[in-house]
Amino acid sequence: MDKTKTISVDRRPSECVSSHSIDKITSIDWRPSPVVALATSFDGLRVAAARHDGSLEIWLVSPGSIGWHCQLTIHGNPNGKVTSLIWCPGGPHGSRLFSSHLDGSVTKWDLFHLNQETVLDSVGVSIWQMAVTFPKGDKINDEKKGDQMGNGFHDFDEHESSESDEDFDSPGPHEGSVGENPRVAIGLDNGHVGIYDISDTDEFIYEKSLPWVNGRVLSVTWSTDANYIYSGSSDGLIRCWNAALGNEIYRITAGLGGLGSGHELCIWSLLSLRSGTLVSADSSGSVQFWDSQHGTLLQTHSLHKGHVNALAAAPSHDRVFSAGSDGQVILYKLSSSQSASSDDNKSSLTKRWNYLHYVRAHTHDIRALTVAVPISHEADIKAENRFKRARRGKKSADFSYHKWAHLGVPMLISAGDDTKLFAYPVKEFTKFYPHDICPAPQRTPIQLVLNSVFNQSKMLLVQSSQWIDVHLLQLKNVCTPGDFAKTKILRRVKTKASRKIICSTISNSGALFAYSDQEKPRLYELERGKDGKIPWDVRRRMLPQRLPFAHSMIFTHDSSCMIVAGHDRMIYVVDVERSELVHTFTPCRQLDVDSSPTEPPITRLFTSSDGQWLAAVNCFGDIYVFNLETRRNQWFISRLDGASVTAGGFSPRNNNVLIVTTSSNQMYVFDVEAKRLGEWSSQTSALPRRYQEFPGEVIGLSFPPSTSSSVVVYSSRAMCLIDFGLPVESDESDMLNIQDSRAKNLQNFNLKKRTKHNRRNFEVVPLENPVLFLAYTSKNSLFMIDKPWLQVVKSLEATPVHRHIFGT
Amino acid sequence: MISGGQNYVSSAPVFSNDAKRLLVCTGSTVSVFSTATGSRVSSLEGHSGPVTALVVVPDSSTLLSFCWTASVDGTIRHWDFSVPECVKIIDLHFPVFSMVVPSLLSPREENDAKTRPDVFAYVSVQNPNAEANCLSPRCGQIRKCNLTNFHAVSSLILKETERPESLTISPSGKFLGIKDKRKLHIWKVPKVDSDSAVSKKITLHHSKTITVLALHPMERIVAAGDVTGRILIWRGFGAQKFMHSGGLVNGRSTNDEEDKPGVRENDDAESCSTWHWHPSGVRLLSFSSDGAYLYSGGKEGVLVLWQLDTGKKNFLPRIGSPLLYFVDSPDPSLSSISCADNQIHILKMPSMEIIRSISGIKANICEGLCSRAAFDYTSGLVAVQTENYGIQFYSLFANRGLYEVQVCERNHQPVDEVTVVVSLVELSVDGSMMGTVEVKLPEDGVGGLVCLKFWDLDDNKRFSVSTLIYEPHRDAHISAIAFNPTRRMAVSLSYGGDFKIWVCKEEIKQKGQMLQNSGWMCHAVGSYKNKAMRAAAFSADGSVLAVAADNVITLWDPNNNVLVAVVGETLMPITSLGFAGKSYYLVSVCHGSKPQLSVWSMSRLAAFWSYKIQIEAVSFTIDFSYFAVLALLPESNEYAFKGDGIILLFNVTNPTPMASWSVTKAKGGGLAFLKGYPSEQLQSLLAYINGDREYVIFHPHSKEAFELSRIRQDDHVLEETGQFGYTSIYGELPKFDPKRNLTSSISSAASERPWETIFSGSSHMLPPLTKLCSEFLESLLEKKTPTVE
Repeated sequence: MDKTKTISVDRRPSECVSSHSIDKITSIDWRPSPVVALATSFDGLRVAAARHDGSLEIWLVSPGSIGWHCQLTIHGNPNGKVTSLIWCPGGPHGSRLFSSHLDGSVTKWDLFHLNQETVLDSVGVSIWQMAVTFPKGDKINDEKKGDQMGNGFHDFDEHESSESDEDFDSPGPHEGSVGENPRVAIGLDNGHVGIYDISDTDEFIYEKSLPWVNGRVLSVTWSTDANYIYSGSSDGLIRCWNAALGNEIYRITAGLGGLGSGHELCIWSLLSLRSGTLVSADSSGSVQFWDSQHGTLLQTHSLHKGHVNALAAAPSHDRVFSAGSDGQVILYKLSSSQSASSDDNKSSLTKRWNYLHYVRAHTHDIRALTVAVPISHEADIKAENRFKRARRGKKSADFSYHKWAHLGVPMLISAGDDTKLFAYPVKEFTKFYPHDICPAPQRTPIQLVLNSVFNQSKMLLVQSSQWIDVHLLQLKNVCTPGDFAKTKILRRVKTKASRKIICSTISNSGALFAYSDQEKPRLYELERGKDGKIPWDVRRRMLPQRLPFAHSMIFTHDSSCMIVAGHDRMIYVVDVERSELVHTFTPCRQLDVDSSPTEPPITRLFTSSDGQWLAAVNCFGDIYVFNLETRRNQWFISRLDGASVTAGGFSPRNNNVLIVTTSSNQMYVFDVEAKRLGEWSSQTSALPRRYQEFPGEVIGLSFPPSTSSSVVVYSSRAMCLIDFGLPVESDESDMLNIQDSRAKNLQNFNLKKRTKHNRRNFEVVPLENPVLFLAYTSKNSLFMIDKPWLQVVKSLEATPVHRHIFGT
Repeated sequence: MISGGQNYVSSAPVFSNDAKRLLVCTGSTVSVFSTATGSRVSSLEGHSGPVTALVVVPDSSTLLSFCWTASVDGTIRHWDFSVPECVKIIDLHFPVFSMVVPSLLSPREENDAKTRPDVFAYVSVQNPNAEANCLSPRCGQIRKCNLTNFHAVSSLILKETERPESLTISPSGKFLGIKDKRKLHIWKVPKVDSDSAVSKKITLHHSKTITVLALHPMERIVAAGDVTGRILIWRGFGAQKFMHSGGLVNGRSTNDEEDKPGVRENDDAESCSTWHWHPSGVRLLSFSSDGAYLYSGGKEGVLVLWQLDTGKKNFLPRIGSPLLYFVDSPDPSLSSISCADNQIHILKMPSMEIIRSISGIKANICEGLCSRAAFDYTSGLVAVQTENYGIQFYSLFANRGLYEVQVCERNHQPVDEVTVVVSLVELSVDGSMMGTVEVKLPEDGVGGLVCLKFWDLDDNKRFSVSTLIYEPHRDAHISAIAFNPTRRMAVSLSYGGDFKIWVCKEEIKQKGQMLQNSGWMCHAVGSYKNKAMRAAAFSADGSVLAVAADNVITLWDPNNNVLVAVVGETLMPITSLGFAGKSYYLVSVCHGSKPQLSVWSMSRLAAFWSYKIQIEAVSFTIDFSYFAVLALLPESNEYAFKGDGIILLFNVTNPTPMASWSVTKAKGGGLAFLKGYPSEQLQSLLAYINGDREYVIFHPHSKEAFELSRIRQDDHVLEETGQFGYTSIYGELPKFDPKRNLTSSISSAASERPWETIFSGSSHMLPPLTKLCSEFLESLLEKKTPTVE
């Protein structure tokens, strides 16, 4: 976020925010993991991103909004390094997601149960890439183009057979049964390409294996009509195979100038276009366009200053993007130019792929590219967006994103070693700066305990992927601007190296904390050490044996019970003292029907402070409300305008009030007891636009400890104070106010000078660094954990792209 | 009179059809150079204003050599440059700043014989009315004129611009374009052109000021460079506007703006891509003739070759000077680049190596730190400091650069900050010794260094370093060097108040062969009251050294280092000093608020006469008691004298000038007596070089300004263009032609040359000097004016 330092006195933040003092911590360990693979589902709505630590994220744009939202995260096997991701049509939910791994296995990601299943066991050989045939639906659309292509191939094949191959038949219509299931080509480290059928039961059925070639098969792709497979290997050769017969049709030496097949030239990516053009990306920084019919070179672009790792094509297949280890995304466009030398009457249309533009948004290597068409429908927010805005000298990246992100606009997503994901407009690539859709990747989950049993001191629970840290928070009474609060680490509890911590929680007393890895949940008790040597001691507490591992856990407000949302889609209530299971809830849509669990697993839990209510939210945005006292299902709230719930909580003032924010940047207030929308929500027709265009999605909310009617919501870039007691104004000058507050620095919050401005509702305050956590510590003081992104980048394993600056 | 030193790079040169000649606009003439030898072959003379545009009529047979030129004087002329003679003159009455002739470039129709269509030129002219009319500041106009049947410039104005812009034409002759601040305007040339034919125009926009543009030879591609160094390439421009009427509707329905990536403001182009390599503004852009490459260059002096398809770059670095123009020749193996330091390099093309340079005199880089150019009395050379820390020796008689010596061994990049300056260069009278001073400027106040170098002529008649002295005067800069005319002795002066006499030990004979000089050694050190010393001179016999110590002149015996006498006092520090020939008169020059030209009599050790005039340069004859000064006129007198300076020739004994000439651009100019060429009269010649390094050489004593024939000593030997047949294999046979030397004809025809730009006429026509000199001299001058020779 860029901040201008122009602070005019009369435009000071209004008192509601400026009166708060903010304590900051920047020392939290936050190590996001690089993205290694991206894949877009066939409908173009969802993007799967696999990270180096084995986790998988599904990113989508919630209906009616344009901001990206991480719908769900699956913590996979941390040792199974994902090499490629494919979406495959079919299956019970319409599409299935598979990933290949460096250890040679193929796993299926169950997006409903949030787990990972191995579908193809390792044969001990690494898989470099998988490619799936184009889906049927697409194929029909492409039939016309495909026909022409196919004929071309037939001709070519006959030529070939007359020359050398005696037992070579023209492929013809391949076996009917094969075309039914999607087929997958798997490029193996030992030089084989395996072809598998994916059955409806998600099995990989071995079909054939292409002949062994020298070197490693690093990239495979199918031709659009699925008759041919192109494979690129580490010896710099691109081979074209007949998919039906498994014989090699031709091979291309990709080295520039035909300089032999240097063993060091790796073909990292191949892309087959509908027009019959094959695009290759290799380790020498070249992107080459080939005529896939003859295997002849059309054009070479050597603009990357490093390996070219990924290729992607626009849906219209007239634009190709390449990205590589120099952090650049380069656009090539097919332009048909009329040669002026031949006169106007005889037009010889020459088609060329021209370099057009590059964008360098990533600081590190880019590993993957994909193109998505993510916005499924546009709400009226777009209509409001069309309002004229006052011209400002400096526009932030967010606002340019709002300009181009519309329905049906294809977006290019790039991700790589700097762990971020960027979205670019495919069509207006040259005009807009990419949008950072993931400002705080893999946020470290943090919980704050305000009044612990240990001298009322404040405690923090910080969950890393392999361990849990309990910190003692020391806030200064008098905070000067720019000063940081201090933490003291009390205990670190580590898990086994092969497991990852999925969720964790700490009780309000601070004495109990729990985490769950992929095996089972564990409960610990923190106590002061008996002797002086170890001031703090951790004791493991027993939990009921048959408790499954959890996606979410929470303690009740009085710390007496722990609620575990198991991966088996049941919710368990455990009495901590007696360590016995008290009750098991089954989330279901119909109330009072106790049946086997059919609903997706719960990923978020909220309890009310009087211990009466439990709200459970699944990753799709459905909310189940349970009454803990009567142990009954209270209410089911179907997903709110199709959007996921990003944050929520029961108001401490009125325990019957549940407030949730959704990924479409809406806020809802429910009256749980009355099972209806709360008074505020029913009265408020539309939230102010400045809130709907909140930079980044809301990732959390915090209530002040007092009986105030306000709440602070925050994203990783900004925070916003909402007072339910105040009217919701939606005036036209809202945009100006966001811009103005943008100009203010964090330090100004502590300025005690009160301005005479009216108290404003929904004031958005941008924050400087990516925020991990923000909460009230007392009535007028906030506690914030953030970390400058530069520090995060320093802790990344990969080194950033070295850029030679001219003149040095 | 010999004139020369013209600027070769005022506009782009053009190759002839056989690529053996290069036509260069040199002021009001066009010089024709041989590309094989790099020497001047002929020149087209006739324009009275600077020539701004050159168009060679292309011809497939390469035999015809016609060209069109346009000039600021408002005429367009048609030449046969092989003869050379002017064929046709068209008077436009508008100053022409750029001209292109599209119909010459487009392929000739087959009905060539029957009806030859009229040839139309597109000219960028300055509207003379615009200056008077303050309401329209746009004085540049793009107009058309019929060259075949000229009546008047077409009243159709294609575009009005703020200043006259230069026109760019595509090599196919189909499109022409100009840049206009942040826009490009491109016209399609009508197929059948007439005075009233309206050409269609498109406009392309950019966010930065565009500096240069180039059009692709075949396709509809235009490249433009901007001030930030970006190169933009629009492909498929004018698809809607130009192509639509041609009956050809594009297969793709030109649907929407989103199909045009990178193109601004709904411009009519398919796509626009950006390349960025140049750190500062792009000055030259040119497509190769096959359209596969793009050449670009800028201030940093690197020619960049872009492969248009892939964007791959190739470089020709270390040209050492900002690049201005790149010109392709019909011969694919030759092309030329013009540099800002007045050099035209001829490149051998695929390898991009400089095979030949046409070097004009390098531009004045004097910015306070450098002294003036030094002249060689005997050989007629001028030594000028160059930007790349060297000294260029330029033959004034031959009007070409001879060679350069590098004073300071370091690479020069035009974008670099100046850290080293060659501040002084001085030649001895016989031209065999040279002294240079280079100053390394201190960085952040530390590290400054003054270095004095003595140079000797080596066997190739080139200077090589003999002695190098670091910090000769401890802590002060060197203000002047002077050579003893009779022996190998020199004096260096410093602002710190001391001078050092350096002697070169006589050559030592050893084993019958001449050894190198043993080098220059400090012979003596002197100072006078610690006064800053700024000028020194040896008397003609070398027995007296006069050193100006601030306001007084001290006379020394240089051999014994004895102060002989102290002469007089001036009001301001003396900055220049000299003995007038073999006479006993000393001339001193002071600058500043009270400038003074004084003549001191050595016999009486007193002032003889003086003027209060601002002297820019002074030169003395060797043998006679004459001296010439270049005086700057006060600004109020400029209109009376048609120039800002005046050259006055004095005899020391007489304060009345013997002759005077009015000159222009006198600021930064120089003056020197040169030894006449042997075939000429034995009188010495006077050379005047102005601030732009244009020069003239003339006889100071002749009543009329005789024009000397251009003397070309050795050019004829080099003239043959290329060797063929026997000679190409075995080399040239020795020629037995004793009469060859006689062919260097000496034609002293006094044709009326347009030398009004520099001289307003002979001395008789000049107004009296009353306005020039002080009140004291007024009566004296008036009386004796008729007797002035």
